[in-house]
Formats: sequence, C-alpha cells, structure tokens
Amino acid sequence: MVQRYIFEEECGYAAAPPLIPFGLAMCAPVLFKFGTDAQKRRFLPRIYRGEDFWCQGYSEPGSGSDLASPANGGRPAGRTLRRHGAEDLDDARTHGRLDLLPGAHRRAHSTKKQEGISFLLIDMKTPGITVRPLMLMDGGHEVNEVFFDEVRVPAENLVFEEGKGWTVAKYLLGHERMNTGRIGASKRELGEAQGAGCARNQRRQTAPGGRAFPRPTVAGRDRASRPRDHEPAFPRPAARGRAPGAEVSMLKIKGTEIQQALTELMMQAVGPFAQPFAAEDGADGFDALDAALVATVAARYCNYRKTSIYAGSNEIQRNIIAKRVLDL
Amino acid sequence: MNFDYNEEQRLLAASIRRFAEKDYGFDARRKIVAGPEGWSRAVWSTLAELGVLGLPVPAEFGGFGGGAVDLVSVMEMIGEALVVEPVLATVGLGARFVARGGTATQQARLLPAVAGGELILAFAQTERGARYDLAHIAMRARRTSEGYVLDGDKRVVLHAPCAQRLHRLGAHRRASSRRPAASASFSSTPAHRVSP
Repeated sequence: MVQRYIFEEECGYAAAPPLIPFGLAMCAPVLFKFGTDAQKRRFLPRIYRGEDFWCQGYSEPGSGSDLASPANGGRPAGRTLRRHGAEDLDDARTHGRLDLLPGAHRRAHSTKKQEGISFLLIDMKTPGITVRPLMLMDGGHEVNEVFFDEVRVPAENLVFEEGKGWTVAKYLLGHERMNTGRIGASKRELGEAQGAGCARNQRRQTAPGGRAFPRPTVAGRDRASRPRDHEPAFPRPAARGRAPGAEVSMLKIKGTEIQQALTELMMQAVGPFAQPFAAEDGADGFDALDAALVATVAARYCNYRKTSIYAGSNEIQRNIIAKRVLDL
Repeated sequence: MNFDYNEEQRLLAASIRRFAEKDYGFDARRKIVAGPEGWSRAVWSTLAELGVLGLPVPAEFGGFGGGAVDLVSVMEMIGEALVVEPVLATVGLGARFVARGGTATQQARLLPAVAGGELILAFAQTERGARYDLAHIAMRARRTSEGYVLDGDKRVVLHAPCAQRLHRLGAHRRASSRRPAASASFSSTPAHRVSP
C-alpha cells in the first residue's frame, strides 16, 4: 500500500499519465477482501493486465450526495438477479471498453437505509443497459447516465452477501479516497503556478508582489504549499492491512481543497489568457508557461469543482471525522 | 455610505431578470450557444429595446447617460443569466471608451449605432506576453495621409469575431518618454484579420 502510494505520488509529480483507478485501485481491493475464489480467479488477472475497464454506479437521480439511497430494484430470478432503474454519474468512459459495473441495488425497503443494498458486478454489454453521456462544463466526457431495464445479472456476480453491499461499498470508497489526495500532482502544479506567477514579462514585471499579481493569491499559495503535513499518517494503517479509515477522510478534504486552491491560483496567474478553452483556440499569448498548459487552465478550474463533491462530499468526510475520530 | 441601488437601477435590473426568466432559460441559451454564431441577434435587439446597449451612451446620442453603478446593476443580471451576447465588449468596454475618450465626431458616428443595437464593438488591448501589464503595448500605429497604419497583433480580444469595429491601442513612442503613449485607433472590418 505504501509502495503504491509512493509510486502514485511520483507519477503525479512527474505528470505521468495516471493509472485509471477504477479497476486497479477500487475494484481489485474489493475483490481481494470480499470476492469469492471464482471471482478473484476470473477478474483479478484481467484487472492486472488491463483487459477490463471498470466503472462504478452509485448515485441515482435525486439522491444528491447520498450514496446510500439507491431506489434501483433488483430481485433474484433463478440463477440471475434482475435489475432495473436509472443511475447517474457513473464514471464510465466511452472511449474505453465498458465491461463491468459494480453496482449497489436495493432489494427491499428496510428501516435503515444502508441495509438491503447489494453489490453487483455487471457486464456493460448485458442486454437492457443503455448508456447516455453527460457532458461536463469543461467540455469533457467522463460520466454517464446508465439505464437498466430488466437487466439479468448472473448470481455469481454478487459480491459478499445479498443486502450487505454497503459494507463493500464503504470499503471501496475508502480506497477511492486514497486516490483523491493527489499530493504529487499538487506539488507539481504548485511549482507551475509559482513559475507562472513569478516569471517576468518583457517589461520585467513579475506577478506576485507587484501590481501584476493580485494579493489574495499569496494566501492561496500558502494554503497550497502545505500538502506534506497531511502525508505520512494515512497509508500506515492501510500498510498494516486495515482498511483506509477516517484518516483518509482528512486527506480527501485537505487534498481536494489544495487542488481547488491551485486551479484558482493558476486562473489568477494566467488572467485573461485563460479565456481560450483549448490549445487550438490560440492560447499562446501567455509566454511564461507552455501554451498547451495555459490552454488547460480554465477547463481544469471548471473540472476541479467536482473534487470536493466526489468520493463522498467533503461535508460527508467531516461527518465521518466527527463520528469516528472526535467521537461526537 | 449607501451602496443600495436606486429605484431606476432596480427597475432596469428587474426588467432584465424578467427577460432572462422568460426568454433566456437554460435550454434557450443552450440552443443559442450551439448555433452557428454562438450568440443571438434577436436577443441583441431585445437588449437594445430594454435599454441595456444605450445605458452608458450620453442622452444626446440616443442613450441614457448612465454611470458605472448603473452598468454594474445591469451586468449583475447579465452575469446571473449567463448571457453570451457581447454586452461587456460592446457596452462596458467599447461604448464607454468612446463616450469617455472619443472625439465629438467619433461619438456621433459610433454611439447612436451602439445604443440602437446596430453596431457591435470589441476592445483589442492585450498583447502576447503582456499578462496584467496594461501598458505593455508593442503594436505600432503609423500616421499616414489617410489615417493610421497598424502593425502588430492583439490576443484574447473578447468577441472580436462578431465585432464590426475594433478599438485598438497602438503606441507612438516619444523620444523623451520611456513609457509608450497609448492611443486609440478605429478600423472597420475589412482592414483587419481575425483568427479565432
């Protein structure tokens, strides 16, 4: 776990293409812990070799950030489970192959909302599944609405026990939150922002300190420069074989706040040159940074609004800390 | 100090909000953005009728002679409705620039057309490498018998593709001064090349 964390931090620092986390970092740990031997034999080698692309379907229309409220119906039908309903915000990428979807579904209404949810692995090519792309405000396509109409899922694709899916989902989310800190990438971006802010223009004006760089960004830079404070504590319990717990919630809150502060800092540093939305729009007027990087500044600012919401919103993370760390 | 809007400012803002709620909802706006021009001439005419386009234009040129605070009350609503039409470029930058610094002839020629919704302006200020430095101007304006000849290029010119006229700041360097003196030049569409 610590090795993987170090590897991912260095990848982020080097701007290496990230490993898509849905299989390696999210589905695989779940199957290690909860999967049957047959599930492990079938799926883990394919995840390891990158043969399956995974996505996840938690949120449903009208649930907001409440991951424990699926209304999707599923019922056992002989050797298969049938599933119908609509899901929102699946991290399913259409340019990859969509193969399996670990899904949570509610079998029967129960008094506690987390009960009655089951965790399923679903082949995205199963008849009855319709994927409708949702375009994001940065112009990108990462998430989709996925509709299930009498979808038949083999019973051997149930992970852990029927109705105990929330236990599995919580374990997965702990691993997902490990990915959301992105400390290495934030360190690199801090360097880029400082480069953009401190470089002199042709009349030898620098951004910070001078009129050319607005003052509030100095506070933003201070906020962004302390990711290391939150680093060492959290992979340790995981290294001892425990599931990532409340300490990951701290990393998630702090890491995503830093990411958002950095995108704001870059917007301020690049100023009017952040207006063109793509490199082909001619974003080459800001000479302190590579044009390709300047062209992504506004899109990243828009895209990163999501980080304080996904993987369990930061408000939910604060509740977890209040309950499990502070005993409130 | 009283920062509240006055009655007139509130009424104007309310009329823009009513227009936005009725005719500029999310779906209507999305259709406009997806259209060939990315903005709507019909909406532009409505904004002229509502008085938005003539707001900073002096009354003698068909406007309302509004000041900065009048414009702020309007721009808040324009922002709230995510209006994509070139209001800031034409009214906030272009028209106010001419109203404050143009000659009487320039004002008479340009401002009534802005107020009537017939003229769209863009303000070409920022140059490559200028960053926040407003005085960073490398473009050269050379006086000839017919007017000015401009050499140089401008970046991130808001709404340049739909503008009929560009205001450009060119520099005449004076031997005695280290700061280039900025001056405005007006040129009409055929004289310049805009690449998106």
